[in-house]
Amino acid sequence: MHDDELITLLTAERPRPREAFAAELDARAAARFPPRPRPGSPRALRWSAWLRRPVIPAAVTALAIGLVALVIAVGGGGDARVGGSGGVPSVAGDTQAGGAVAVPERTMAEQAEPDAQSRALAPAAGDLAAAHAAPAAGGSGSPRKVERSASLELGADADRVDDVAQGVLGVVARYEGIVDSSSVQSRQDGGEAGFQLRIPADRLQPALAALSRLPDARVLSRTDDTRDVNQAYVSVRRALANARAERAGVVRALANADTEDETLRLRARLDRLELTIARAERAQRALDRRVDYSRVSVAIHGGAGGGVVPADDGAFGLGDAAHDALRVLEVAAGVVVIAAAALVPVAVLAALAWPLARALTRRRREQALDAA
Amino acid sequence: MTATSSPTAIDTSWERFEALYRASRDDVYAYVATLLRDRAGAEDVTALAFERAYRRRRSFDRARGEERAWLFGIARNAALDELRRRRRHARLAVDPEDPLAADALASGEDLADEAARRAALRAALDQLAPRERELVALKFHAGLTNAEIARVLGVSESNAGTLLHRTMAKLRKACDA
Repeated sequence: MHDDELITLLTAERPRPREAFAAELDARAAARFPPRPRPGSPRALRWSAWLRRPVIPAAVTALAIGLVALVIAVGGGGDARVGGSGGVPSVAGDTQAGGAVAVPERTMAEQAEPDAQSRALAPAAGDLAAAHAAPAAGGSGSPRKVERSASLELGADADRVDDVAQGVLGVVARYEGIVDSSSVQSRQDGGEAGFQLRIPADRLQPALAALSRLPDARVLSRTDDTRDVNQAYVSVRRALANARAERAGVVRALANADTEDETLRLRARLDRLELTIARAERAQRALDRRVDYSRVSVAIHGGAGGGVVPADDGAFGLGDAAHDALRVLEVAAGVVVIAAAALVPVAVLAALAWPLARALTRRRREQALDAA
Repeated sequence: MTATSSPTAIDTSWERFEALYRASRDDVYAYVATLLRDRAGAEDVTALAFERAYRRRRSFDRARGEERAWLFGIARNAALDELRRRRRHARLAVDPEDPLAADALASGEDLADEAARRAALRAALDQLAPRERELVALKFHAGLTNAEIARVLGVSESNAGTLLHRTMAKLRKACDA
């Protein structure tokens, strides 16, 4: 068979479409190939088979739920850290002798009004007084010896730091306290002041309340500490009583001493006992000071970090809306970052797997042709 | 606003695609029908190929070949996907009809001789490997050039020519046998 004849025959063998099919396809072409449902098409079969697998949709759902939970957790954690929209740390007490002082986190309205905030702190004084009045465990009838201390952080406008510092000194004088140290730094953009005070223990709570209510100041945080020193106090007193009793015995023995050597030995022993007694008395006085005078640390922050928030009427205003909107944007940005962190590795894997999948598909197609 | 297109981008206007459709409709069908050896399946795959080509017309890059080669690449993938699907599911056993068989019975000796030669050709085509039949379909049923065939099959043009030459020699030998 010649080439021309073969080509002619091959061309004649060319399959031709049915007229009905050609007309139908032309009509679809004229309509610009509108999508048509093809339930039996390979792609539809692939997707339906994918969706029929219970594991994959369940995994996708679990991933979505986990992501949402993570976002909620992150959002909630952020709120707790800043202590509400005012950005003020929580006011909480801490005791070590059972007299716990705990004031709940302050609300927006409390933060907006210093006086209201100070009133919210007032119940802490009653709790501490109750702790102070606890009976001694030793059964001696005297109250237990308790050492108390407190720290107070106050905020003030930049130009009010000095006034607030003077107010602190006034409160110390009014309650007959002692200023151990103080430092005041005034700057144009704010300022700082710090005081180490000692306040008579029985006047501690009124003094703290007065400090919390200082004009032009607001409480940023307050911490009360209570430490039971009763055991140490009893030990010192017992050691002192023993030493004194022994000293009396040595004095009596010295009066009855017959020899020079015995006299010298008893005198040396008496000297050591005097030293011991003096040391115990110093320790007792120190303990008395710690019990009778409570240490109070006051810090004043001026300027942007501690400025007084102007009081409002509690209504939801434009500033509140802007603040909340900013918060929403922050959370949304966080969601985007988390989603990106989760999606980037997936995208990298997909990018790596894509050429492999294409090569595999190509290979399967060629295998299908070979098997035809 | 006047749209401008880069030299390598396809003219995505409908008129351009419609011209490609008009020029290639029967060729695509002939190629697919030869590949599938099933006219009903060939109709579905031909329609699917044009749908895909229409949807992907903006992704065509002229630097990578002519439009017809691009279109036949899409048709080839659709046909091979159909073959894969048939392997996974029930196999269709539809023989291509012989359009001249009835004529041969009713006509004289010339037509009977012609029908015999065509029957011999079909038998020879059946002896070819699927890839060789595909080459024949692309060349003589779809009317593609060697360069276009090379583009569709992913081989060099000279390789496509060599494969085609060997296939024709094999086909001629089978017909003469």
